[in-house]
Amino acid sequence: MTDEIINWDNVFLQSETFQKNKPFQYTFVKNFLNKEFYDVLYSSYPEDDDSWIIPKDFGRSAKKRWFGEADPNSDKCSLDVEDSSLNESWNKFFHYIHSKEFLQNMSRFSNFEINKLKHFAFIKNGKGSFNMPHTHHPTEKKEDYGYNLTLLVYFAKGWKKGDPGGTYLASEEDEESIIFEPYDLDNSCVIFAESSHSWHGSRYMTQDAIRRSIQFTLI
Amino acid sequence: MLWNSLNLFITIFETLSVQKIEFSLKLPANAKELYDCVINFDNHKKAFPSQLKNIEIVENDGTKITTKETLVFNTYIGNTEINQKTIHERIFPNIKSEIIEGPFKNSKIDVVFEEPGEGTKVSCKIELSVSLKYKILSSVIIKKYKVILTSLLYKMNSLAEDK
Repeated sequence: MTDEIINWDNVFLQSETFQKNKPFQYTFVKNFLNKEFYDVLYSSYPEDDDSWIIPKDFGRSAKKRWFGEADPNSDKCSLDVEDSSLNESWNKFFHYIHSKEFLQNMSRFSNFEINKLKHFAFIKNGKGSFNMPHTHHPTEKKEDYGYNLTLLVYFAKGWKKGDPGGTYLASEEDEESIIFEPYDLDNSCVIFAESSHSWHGSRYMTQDAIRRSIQFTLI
Repeated sequence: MLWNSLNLFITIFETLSVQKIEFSLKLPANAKELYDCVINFDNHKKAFPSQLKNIEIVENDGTKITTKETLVFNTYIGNTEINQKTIHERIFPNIKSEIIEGPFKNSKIDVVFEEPGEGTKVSCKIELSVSLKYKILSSVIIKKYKVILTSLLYKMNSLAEDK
């Protein structure tokens, strides 16, 4: 199954960059998914319906949807479940990111000991969406982190260079300190390590576009 | 002598406790429509249901509006609830707010909505005065103020554009 779903060669090519990047570990992987598999996921990305929610956090505006019963805010967050409303490819992908092969490869890529998937969400940003700079673990000790790696995979074609919406990485809690922002959002992936200063977010979208993505975390 | 030294120390400490931040944003909405959305305090509660626990208008003479609000800050030491009273002077394109009661008493927030061609240039100036009790949180609070004000402006821009 190795390259049927994820282009591992592309991921491992970024391993050294990820491990050496500062002020926290991060990288950007183009052509993250196998092209044929990506095309199927792209064309069957879930449409808007009652299963999407808009979180009420003050610092963000975007739509989210969980995978079946694996609600990140529940005790089922890490379960390898089926979502009958999604096709076989999405279910295959979800099962794969719980697999030993995937977790071992992510351990090899990051040089972290990765043991399981913690959370998964579909995230859709449109005109007016944003996510103010934040970190997931501002105060906790490293050993108490809920997860150690965050991945965002994009399913948005035709993104223009300079357009807001991709997840930026920043050195401070301020959009003026952005160190990286992706513009190729067609089958690409931002990966960053969790730390007290892993600031990230997405700039306010003023353009008529839809940024379709998935976010998942690993521990 | 001791009393004078103490007063001098307090004056210096309070001066050092004032933190300033200035920033500007370019937003696509019309300046007057955006201004009207921002000055409608019901919109603030809708935008920040968890962080703005309560806001009520206690006085309104058309130009000067006095509000009483309860803010919730999520800080390193947990959730901190803050009660304050603020006077907002509204003369388009300016909103000048001054906190008159609470731990940030004497803090000032000036926001200007200019229309340079298309959209709005919003310029914000925050002068945060922090009481001794909250001094330890001042650097966190000034950053949060910028994040909160920016987030509010984004949400109000979306509201103004949807009109």
